[in-house]
Amino acid sequence: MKNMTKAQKTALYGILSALALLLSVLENYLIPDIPFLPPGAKIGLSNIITMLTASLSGFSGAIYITLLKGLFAFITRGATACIMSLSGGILSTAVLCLILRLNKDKLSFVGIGVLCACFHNLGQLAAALVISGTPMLFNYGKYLLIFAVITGTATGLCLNILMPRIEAALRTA
Amino acid sequence: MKKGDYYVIVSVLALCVLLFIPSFLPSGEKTAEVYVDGERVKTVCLTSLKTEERFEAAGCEILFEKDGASFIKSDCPDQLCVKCKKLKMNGDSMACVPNRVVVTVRAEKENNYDIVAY
Repeated sequence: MKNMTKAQKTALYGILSALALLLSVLENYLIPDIPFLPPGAKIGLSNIITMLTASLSGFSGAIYITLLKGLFAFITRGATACIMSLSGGILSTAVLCLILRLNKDKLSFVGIGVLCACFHNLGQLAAALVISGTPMLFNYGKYLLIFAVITGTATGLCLNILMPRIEAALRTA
Repeated sequence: MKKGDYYVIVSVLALCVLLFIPSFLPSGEKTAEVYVDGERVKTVCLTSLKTEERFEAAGCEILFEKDGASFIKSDCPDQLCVKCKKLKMNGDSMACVPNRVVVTVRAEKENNYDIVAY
């Protein structure tokens, strides 16, 4: 990553942003509402890309993807979706980069993914609390947390498999 | 997977269990409350309802039944509130965030409201 030229970096960010947006669209439109999933809960497929970017290029790259996702949510799904996307995204990206910096070997992407998913939900819940002005809503968090564990594990497992291969590919590139 | 991953998963699940405890506490009268912009606009005692009741607030229509409350209609774009299941347990809450409407269900031993305002 460090010895890449500017053009190579631009191309890589382009590919990663496109992938992140594509995965957001996929989970919004192609995956129907799973009956037992709490409403508003998502698998967080595009979080795979955020974590990937964060571990490749640090906070700046990951926050760029997050902001782009927020903009995309605003264009396609309106202001509330944008606030939800950004509040969760920015908090989880910050936590993600903090974990990556502090502890490189105690957690694999599964642990990191679960924590990111939890903080993503926490950020969104906080935004929902502020918008609606009703603290009772915090109770909804327990349902979200259970799914944060499941979805965080799923995205984390993806990255555990993907990451060594991507790093190897980038080394030879 | 590393050892730390399991610690993370177990501690998050433990937190969930803790948060779920109030839902299963023995409950008395069940009341549903509707908030718009953080202000309570309606309180319904569900336990004493004889027929179902509907209430409209800020673009949302809410249905109260003996066993719980649910959103049945909303003019918001995502319709998450309508997709949500019936709120039944103590503390269950759901919001229609675009309309700033929140419905919450309480099932507490005593009813501590002096006045019910409509």
